[in-house]
Amino acid sequence: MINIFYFFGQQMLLCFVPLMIVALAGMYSERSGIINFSLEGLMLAGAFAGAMFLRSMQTVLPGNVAYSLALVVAGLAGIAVMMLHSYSSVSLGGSQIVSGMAVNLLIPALTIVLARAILGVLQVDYANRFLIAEIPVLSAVPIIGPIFFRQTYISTFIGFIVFIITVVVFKKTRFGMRLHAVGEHPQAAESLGIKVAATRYRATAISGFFAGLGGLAFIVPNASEYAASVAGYGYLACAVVIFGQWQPIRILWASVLFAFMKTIANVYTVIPFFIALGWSTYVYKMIPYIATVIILIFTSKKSSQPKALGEPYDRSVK
Amino acid sequence: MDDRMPDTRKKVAKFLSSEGFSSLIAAFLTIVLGLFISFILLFIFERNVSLDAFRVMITGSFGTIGVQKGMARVLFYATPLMLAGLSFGFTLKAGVFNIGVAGQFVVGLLTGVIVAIRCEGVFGDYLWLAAVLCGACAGAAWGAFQGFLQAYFNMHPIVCGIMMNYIGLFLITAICEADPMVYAKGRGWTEVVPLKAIMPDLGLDRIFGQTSAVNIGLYIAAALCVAAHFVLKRTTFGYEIKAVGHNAYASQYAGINIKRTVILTMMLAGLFAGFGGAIQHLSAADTHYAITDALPQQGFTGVSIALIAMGHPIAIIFAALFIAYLQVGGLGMQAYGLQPDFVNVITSLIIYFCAFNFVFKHWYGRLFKWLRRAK
Repeated sequence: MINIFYFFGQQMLLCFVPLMIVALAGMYSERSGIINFSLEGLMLAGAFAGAMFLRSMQTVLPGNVAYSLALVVAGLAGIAVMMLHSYSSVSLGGSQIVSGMAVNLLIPALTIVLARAILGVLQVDYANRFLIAEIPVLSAVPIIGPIFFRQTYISTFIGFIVFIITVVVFKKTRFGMRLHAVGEHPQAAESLGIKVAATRYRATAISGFFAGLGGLAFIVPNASEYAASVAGYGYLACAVVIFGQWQPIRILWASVLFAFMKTIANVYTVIPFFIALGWSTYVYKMIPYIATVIILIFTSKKSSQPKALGEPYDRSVK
Repeated sequence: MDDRMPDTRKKVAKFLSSEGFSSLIAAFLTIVLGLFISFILLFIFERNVSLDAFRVMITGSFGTIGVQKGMARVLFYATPLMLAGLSFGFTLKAGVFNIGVAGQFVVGLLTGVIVAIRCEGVFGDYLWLAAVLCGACAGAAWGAFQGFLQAYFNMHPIVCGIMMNYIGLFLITAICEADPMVYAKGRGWTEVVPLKAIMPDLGLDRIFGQTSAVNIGLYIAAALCVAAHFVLKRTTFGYEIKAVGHNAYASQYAGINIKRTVILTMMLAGLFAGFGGAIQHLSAADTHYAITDALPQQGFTGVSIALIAMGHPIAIIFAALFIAYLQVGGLGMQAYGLQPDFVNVITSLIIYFCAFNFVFKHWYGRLFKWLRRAK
């Protein structure tokens, strides 16, 4: 029984970490007033670039060094793609949802075309040798040890680091405050000397970096190839941002909740309680989404959405 | 200067500077730019074959397989896309970004399959009609439910749409799975629908040949687009939809029931998407529907089409034909070792330019003014 508990915990982390990283990525952008609907596309861009990097480095670098560098490469790819969206949204004042949607449609198609043009096949495969079987000392800690420090990936820890950085940025730094101000009332922010466009570009670049990183952190633990899909996690992350009310800690809990239910759907076949219920697979697959809808029914009335979210900045408006 | 111009020239000038015409120019520019940039991308990555491959994609629908066959295929591809696009475009007018098209589409599709397989004895020769209508109604119900959540619980339309997509997909799959006659557990695809459930050709086979799959669905799709245009343009309900889309608070103040409008709009959107789904599968005989956990691509292509057409129902017909034309042509790119998904690259670039197409409008306006002043 206790083994099932640990197994469940490990599986849940695989779901939870990428979802939280990408949702936090979305939050950076949305807090600055730019709707980031392009998270799915950014994840795919990061996953593709990271997988290409892992593939070319698999004989050169040791496993986890390659993986760490690949996460950076994935982040940079995320920034590059995000700049498309930022240019349209910040500089041209275009419709943010439409350009986000364009990115979501562009990247899966483009990466498939590129994979076939470069490699001749549709999937980018790589040797998956990044699993850390056990971290000495820490894995001996009861309960936490087996879940966090056995059968784990380096991206799990990076996920928590991203979370801590985000909390600090938004609570303690000048940049975080400015970002917040730009998202709430850009005209007032500018009157205080904050450069609205520059702040938004920075916020969206961070958003692109983390979303790309999250994309690779999603596919590496789950597969050993990139096949132009991140299973809709980018869209889910968009939902988690709203569900988490644009606040890092709430986003963490929203991701935990969602990952918990998603994991039930993934591993219910090994849990005696769920086997005994005898429900259809599809019922379990539905649960996370239904639960989200129910929770949203109770929480949607009051929304702490950034006031300037989705509105192109017009400095002539008071 | 204006009053010295001759009458016809004044009219032409007025037409050229009108809102509608500059929108058309902007749309045309976005398409040209999308095609151009995608060609450059292709040229960078596949220099040797890029010209040939691009030519095949542009002319492929008619060039390689003949005009008659090519046309039939384009129309066949375009039919469900038209309806998916209409579903999205219709809600766009009410200011709702209905990302739930894909879910409504698959709910309609599988409901059509269930009715076609289970009710053969009940409806006889009109089985196809019953199946398509039931699919459309199921889509409408799903859309209305989403509208209800949005209207009464203030749920964010995009989040709601994403959730309802997956719930709809898994729910309808679970219902199919409950009936071994429709979908035997673990087989991976549904059973074939009976021949009577395939929609009739209604004379279209005489134009496009016996083997073509074009059928009455094309008429239904085009008629629904025209009807939607009429509703939006000429009825009170259509006016209310647009008013809510422009300014929800002002329309509430003017006495429009916003909740009712949102739910009805979403219901109609679901109806269109459900029609699209059912028509898609009840078109060609002898096909299984592969059960997957992924949402149908048509739902998202529909979003693209509606965005290219800027939500205008009549423009959606042409946008759907355009995208279908490229998709059919794109199949020919495989001969050059390229993936047909390249068409989606073009589409998404066009949509990207659509996001700020007012910039093009602005340029066009300035160019026009400059030309007039230069005279």
